Amino acid sequence: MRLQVNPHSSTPLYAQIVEQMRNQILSGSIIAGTPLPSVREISEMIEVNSLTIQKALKILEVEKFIVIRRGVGAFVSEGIVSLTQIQKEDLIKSGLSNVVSHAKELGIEKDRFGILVEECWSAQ
Amino acid sequence: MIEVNDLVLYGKNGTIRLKIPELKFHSPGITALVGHNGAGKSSLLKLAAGLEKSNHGSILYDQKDIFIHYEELKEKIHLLSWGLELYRSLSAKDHLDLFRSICKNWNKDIELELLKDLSIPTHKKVEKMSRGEQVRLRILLSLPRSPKVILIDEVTNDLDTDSRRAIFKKLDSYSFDTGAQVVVATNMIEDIERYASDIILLKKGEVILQSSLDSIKEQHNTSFEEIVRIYERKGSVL
Repeated sequence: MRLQVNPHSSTPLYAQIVEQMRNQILSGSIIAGTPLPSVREISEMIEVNSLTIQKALKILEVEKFIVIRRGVGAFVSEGIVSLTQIQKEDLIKSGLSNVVSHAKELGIEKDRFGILVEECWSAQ
Repeated sequence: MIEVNDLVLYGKNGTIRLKIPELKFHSPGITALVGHNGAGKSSLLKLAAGLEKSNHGSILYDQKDIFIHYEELKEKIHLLSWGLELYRSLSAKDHLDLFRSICKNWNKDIELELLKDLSIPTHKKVEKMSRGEQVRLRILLSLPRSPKVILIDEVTNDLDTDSRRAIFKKLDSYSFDTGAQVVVATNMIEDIERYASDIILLKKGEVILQSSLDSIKEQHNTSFEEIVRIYERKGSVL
């Protein structure tokens, strides 16, 4: 599990965590049945208060992405079908089309756009 | 839970230092008390600790007036501020020996965990300690007494990021595990964004905003820092 939050963002921290964990579960990078770190461990790891972590985990539980077993811990739900390659690509395309139209508005050339993608990719 | 009712506190020359008709501190979690110097943060914390008496109205803990029941409540409500000093010629170990012998409900497990995680030098005298070490020692002397409310008046502000993070981590897990309420007067935006769940914004003695950090962001779709700027300019509730 990889979490990276931005406290200055206008998106509440719990929503950032939910979104990232949801994506990682759907993409299959966290596998069904995997035990998750405890609230305290996640809180220590990303330096965010425990109530926020708890709130995020509760939402993921309601959405059936994870199962919380009292006194044991949280696990990624069994039976979550991770996205197919085509679904993943569709997801990226829908996000990308906004960026592309923005780039066209600003008059950025196609080749130049490719270079920018390259730069962003290596920067992460 | 701490509750403020119809509170008025006058300063010198009869100016109003605090005027709060109604305010409830939600527990558990960390509440950030935000506002410029002179906004009334310290006064409010002193009143909540029962160290000062208001001119009108009251502050209650579990329906009891905190000023009147000070002797009974002082073990439950701790205030950490620069005014209340440690013994300069004693070490952390000396302080611990003293507190362990005085306090009946001293929690040894919490003490050991804090000693390990806050890296406090045990044999250095307080007068030789840095401010960061002194603040960490105060936390070490407070949490093992199982307070229900911890009030912190700006003491974290001039510490480096690592020290502050270590302290906030401990306050957060203590509050989460025990349900205790933590109120921190601070203007350090990033500490608030990471560790506070509720915000109380004071301006010239009045509460101009009280909200959870999440709902502030959800309502206004902007960062917390920007919200504080907007409210302080307007000076009143939207």
